[in-house]
Amino acid sequence: MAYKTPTSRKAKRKEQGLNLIPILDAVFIFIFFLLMSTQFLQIFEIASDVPLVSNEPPPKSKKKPLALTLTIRKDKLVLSAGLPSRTIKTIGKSGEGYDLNELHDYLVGLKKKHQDENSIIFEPVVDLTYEEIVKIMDAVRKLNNTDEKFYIKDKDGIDVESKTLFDKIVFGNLMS
Amino acid sequence: MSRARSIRNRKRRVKREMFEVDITSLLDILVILLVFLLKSYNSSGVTLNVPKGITLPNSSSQSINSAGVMIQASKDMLWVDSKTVLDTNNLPKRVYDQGGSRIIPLYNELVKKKDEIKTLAKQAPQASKFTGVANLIIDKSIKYSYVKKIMYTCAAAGFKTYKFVVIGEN
Repeated sequence: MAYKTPTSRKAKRKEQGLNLIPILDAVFIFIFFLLMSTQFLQIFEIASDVPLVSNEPPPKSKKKPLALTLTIRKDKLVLSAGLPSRTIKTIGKSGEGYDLNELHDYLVGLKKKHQDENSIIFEPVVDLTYEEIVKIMDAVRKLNNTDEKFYIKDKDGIDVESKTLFDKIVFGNLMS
Repeated sequence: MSRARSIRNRKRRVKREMFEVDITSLLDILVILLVFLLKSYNSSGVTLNVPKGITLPNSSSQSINSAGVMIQASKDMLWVDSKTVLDTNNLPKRVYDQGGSRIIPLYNELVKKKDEIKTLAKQAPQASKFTGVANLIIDKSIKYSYVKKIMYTCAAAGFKTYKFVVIGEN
């Protein structure tokens, strides 16, 4: 007869739980690191280049440059294009501010026709606040989610969705 | 014989186990916190100091900040990398030149900064080179005529790219 261990000696097997303490240590360290480098305010930037003044003639090109210019006047926004420059659109005020929706919609149409152009020259004539200028910059820079989508060819010839309008903003009257 | 030492009561003696805290719920909270912090993590590594008196404008921009010299402007103060260069309460004799377009104290400080960066880049190849980027941290109520002077001064000092610092709308 086989030996049977007395029931009293049988050690009851305990359920082995997962040891979470090392994971917890690592997570704590990671959280401290993230807390140090977290921006609770989402701060971004809008880029703009310094206008270059040159006496050299512009490089010869078959295609005429759009040379899009936005003149900000007290009562209206004036869009002009071409060389020599001619007015293509005048946008008035709606309520207290400029009608930026109309400006944006017009620029979406213009971008469809000139998909390889992405520069715009700003010429504020009136003394606006910095906040108002940023709003106008927003209207000309990016396509909204509600705008009709259109595709441009990248350097490999593949169609990619365009997400910007005229995002290269240059202040034209800095030197005057 | 005492009851505790008796052989009869050996079975009843139960070894005292260590008290264990259930950390599962704590771990849940930490993981949620981790996800939240990862979402708001600043991957650019650029720290921008917005001094008191400056309220940044809101914008739909999503472009991440890049490194450069910080020019901070409030209604009555002007700083370069948090160093005061102009205070309306303590104005120097001459503030503007070149027909009122250039701010002299700002120009001098920017040229000094540019030279410092260039000298450092020559001495230590690992040091970041002069990029010509000026991060403009400007109060939203400041008029364009003053912003224009700041931009003109930056251009005159050799800074060829402006980065207007804004607060994301989302």
